[in-house]
Amino acid sequence: MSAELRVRKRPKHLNVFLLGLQLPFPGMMSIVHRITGAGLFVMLGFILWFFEKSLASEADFMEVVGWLRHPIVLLIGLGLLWAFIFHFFMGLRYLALDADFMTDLKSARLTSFLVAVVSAGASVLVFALVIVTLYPEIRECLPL
Amino acid sequence: MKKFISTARYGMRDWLFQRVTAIVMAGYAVVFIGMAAWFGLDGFEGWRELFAFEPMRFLTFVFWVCVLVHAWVGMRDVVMDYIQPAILKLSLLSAVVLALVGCLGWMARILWRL
Repeated sequence: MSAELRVRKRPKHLNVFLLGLQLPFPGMMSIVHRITGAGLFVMLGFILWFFEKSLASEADFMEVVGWLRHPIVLLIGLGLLWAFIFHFFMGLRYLALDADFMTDLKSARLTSFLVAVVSAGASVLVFALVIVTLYPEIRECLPL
Repeated sequence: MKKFISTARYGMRDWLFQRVTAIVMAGYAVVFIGMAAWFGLDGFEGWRELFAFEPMRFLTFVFWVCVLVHAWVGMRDVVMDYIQPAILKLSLLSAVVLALVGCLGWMARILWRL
């Protein structure tokens, strides 16, 4: 019997596509939590590089600011900030789940939705702060 | 007989490390925002003073250790979940550890050169 099973190709579950787009919303959020975590890990070296340079001297600091003002670097930087913010709020949700808080299906779906909304909102605020800080020329154009 | 490839295992100890480091990092985030507001992030001087301030330097280092431990647990979970070939698993886990140890040394150098 086992020889037959070994020969026959068993249908393999395509984990690589993570069930396609059929993941329920909390599941989708969960995998984004994992992806943001891994993404942040990969960027640790770059973060340290920029951090080191920003503290080296006044001139180096201004150079880093110059780099951050570049659209592509800015995009990546904002992406990292969003990844951290999302990972952070999602992490809070997991801590709550560990404490048996809102673990039923309805509540779990609600909290995952809340995480999406709150992290998006916080990201927008942080982005605005970063952009206004990096581009002081924008401050002149603002009516504030 | 089970093949010994690495010490990475699912279990309570690492789960605890992940949670504890998360809470410490969240605490640091709050402290950082407060300290940044205090020192005033308006340029190089404020930025440098923030991290040269001895308590902040210490806390930042503790925070960084937490980041690395937290990242280790997370990345180890990812490797254990998705990588089956033993050699690949061992290589990736080793690479992650080495990268994290390197990051530890690098941060120590950055902070204590101030």
